[in-house]
Amino acid sequence: MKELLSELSSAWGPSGEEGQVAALVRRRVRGHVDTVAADVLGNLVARRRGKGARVMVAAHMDEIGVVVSHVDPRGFVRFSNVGGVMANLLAAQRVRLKSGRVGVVMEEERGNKEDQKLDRMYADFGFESAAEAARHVRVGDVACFDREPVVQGHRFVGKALDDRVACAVLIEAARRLKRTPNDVSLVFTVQEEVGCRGAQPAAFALDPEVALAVDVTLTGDVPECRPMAVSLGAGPGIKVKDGGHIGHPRVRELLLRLARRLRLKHQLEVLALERASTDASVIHKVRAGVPSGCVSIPCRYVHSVSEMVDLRDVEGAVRLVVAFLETDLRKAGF
Amino acid sequence: MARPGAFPWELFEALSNARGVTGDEGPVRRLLRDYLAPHADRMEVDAMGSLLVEKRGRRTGARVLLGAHMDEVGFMVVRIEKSGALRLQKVGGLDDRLLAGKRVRVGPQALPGVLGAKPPHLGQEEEASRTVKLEDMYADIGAADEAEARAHVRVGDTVTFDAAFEPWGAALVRGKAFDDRVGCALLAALVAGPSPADFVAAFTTQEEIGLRGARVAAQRFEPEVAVALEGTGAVDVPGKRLAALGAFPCLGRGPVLTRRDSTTISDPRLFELFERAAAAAGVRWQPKRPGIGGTDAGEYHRAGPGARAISVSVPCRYIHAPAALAARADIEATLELVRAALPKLAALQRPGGTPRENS
Repeated sequence: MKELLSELSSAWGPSGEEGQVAALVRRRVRGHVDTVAADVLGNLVARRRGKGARVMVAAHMDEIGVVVSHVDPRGFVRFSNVGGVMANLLAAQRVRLKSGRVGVVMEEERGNKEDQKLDRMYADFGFESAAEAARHVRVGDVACFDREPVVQGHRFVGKALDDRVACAVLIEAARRLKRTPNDVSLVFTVQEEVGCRGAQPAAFALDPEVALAVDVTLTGDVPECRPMAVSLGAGPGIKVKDGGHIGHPRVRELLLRLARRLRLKHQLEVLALERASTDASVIHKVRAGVPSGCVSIPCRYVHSVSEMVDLRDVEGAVRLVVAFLETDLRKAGF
Repeated sequence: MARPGAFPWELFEALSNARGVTGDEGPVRRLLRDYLAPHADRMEVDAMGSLLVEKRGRRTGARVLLGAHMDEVGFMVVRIEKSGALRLQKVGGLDDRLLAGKRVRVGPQALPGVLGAKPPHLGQEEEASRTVKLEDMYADIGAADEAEARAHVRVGDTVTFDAAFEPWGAALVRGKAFDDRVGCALLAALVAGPSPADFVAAFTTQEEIGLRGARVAAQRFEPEVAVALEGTGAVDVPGKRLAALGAFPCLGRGPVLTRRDSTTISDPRLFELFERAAAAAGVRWQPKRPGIGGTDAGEYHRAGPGARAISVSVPCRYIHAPAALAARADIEATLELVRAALPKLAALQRPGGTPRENS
């Protein structure tokens, strides 16, 4: 798991440019599913065919990043956000283009330090002129954070664990899933961070009868933070509600029953942030509606270059997802 | 008589002058219907009021949808005061700094009015230096009292800027609602001209308050390839800060191609197709500033099992204001570019259909 997660965390894939992550996922699920197919937006559907209920499990491949908005006459790069980038967490970090070229993000020296905004920042890729810059970068190119993963004890720290940790959970679930009565589609989605744009068409095409999203959630276990009953190491979260989705009660209760049966540490999760949600926020509203739940991986410092998860929670999420997929979902009422 | 396939300047002028605030696009739709009737293979108005036109060409392939929205930003009357003053709400994105003192037209009778605000010398000193917000303004139609106003105006009437289309020197044109009547005129020209391939032209409603018409049109046709034709903001205006951040797009540098805005990441293959078509046709283009603005493409690419989508725009200074400026050459070049790209769009079918169809 550590090795898989390291590989996924290090992969380059800002929203809309998930190709490298998709190639990695394809390689890792090969032999464990019947078919793998990409749709027009780049969603990757790894499918285990069955006669039972059509079930969709989604994890998003994309990560937040920056998009080049201007290259100035000296070769400094101005940028805008891709997804929920926080300006105060960006200064002095490094960003990486698809080519591998690395830029240092800095704030303009003059200006109000309290008022940190992306348009007061720039990225220095070491270009010595606009002409040199023009050979490497143009308006609309994207970059993601550049940071190596670290493992210390049970804790895994890296960029893009939102949501590569869930990609790892789905891949591992595909490997462990022996027999399933269901028609299982593991969907590695695109463009979640810019508004769950991939999951909607994917769900429309698959027309699932029940769905799960697997994504990270915040925690309430660090100094002076917002109140939240989720802690790192206390097991996977079972979603009650977030800013865009209320976990379907029957899906939630089934997940709870399975967790108890497996004697799995788990926690109920309420994410009380108005704008925070997962692919489930669009999946549950597709076509005539899809009963949808969410398995959450507790994660500290989400959308920073150093997101932190607990590997025991990740293992718990794998076991919970496998148990869910091994359940006869038709018989369970879906 | 203009040569067939040329940009229809007279139609554009009429469209710009027509009044069609979001939700009240009737006058714009009527103009387009009349203009397109001889050229369309099929035409209908859907439940959202969008005008959907099917055009058959010589070839078929992927389902292609070209779209432009008919609505413009403006205002709605929300209350009629005892004094006869009309209180307004914004419809779509409008900058308060541009409003006080502007001439407007109110309701279906197009009553002339002016956006009034308390004069600065009657307030506190700091008030004089502050931007007056629309909630502190009113439309003044010269009514003596509420009864007189009510004789002409109802709550819910829409209000447009009062601005007439006119040439602005030899190179530019000036008018209101270039966003997106310029797109409507371009799309009408494509329908009226000879078409190399089948496509659906969607003249949509309610773009400015959330792409609502486009969503329904896209659900209906489930396009595989979609192009939103737009008027987009040009920011080639003075300002040191703007220069540091990049003062583009510019008037006179050709059509604007979007890679990313706030609603859509353009399909890379479609973007490349347009880049190549531009090179082949010798049309100079410029990039859209990423991350800002949004278009109907935001709905088109997510409808059904997903579609390739992009926005192609004419740069316009001062959009969402009474006096936008656009360059004639940019408008004509945009038409040339889309026309050059159109025959190639049908080749961009969805990979292997939808995943469900694969099984």
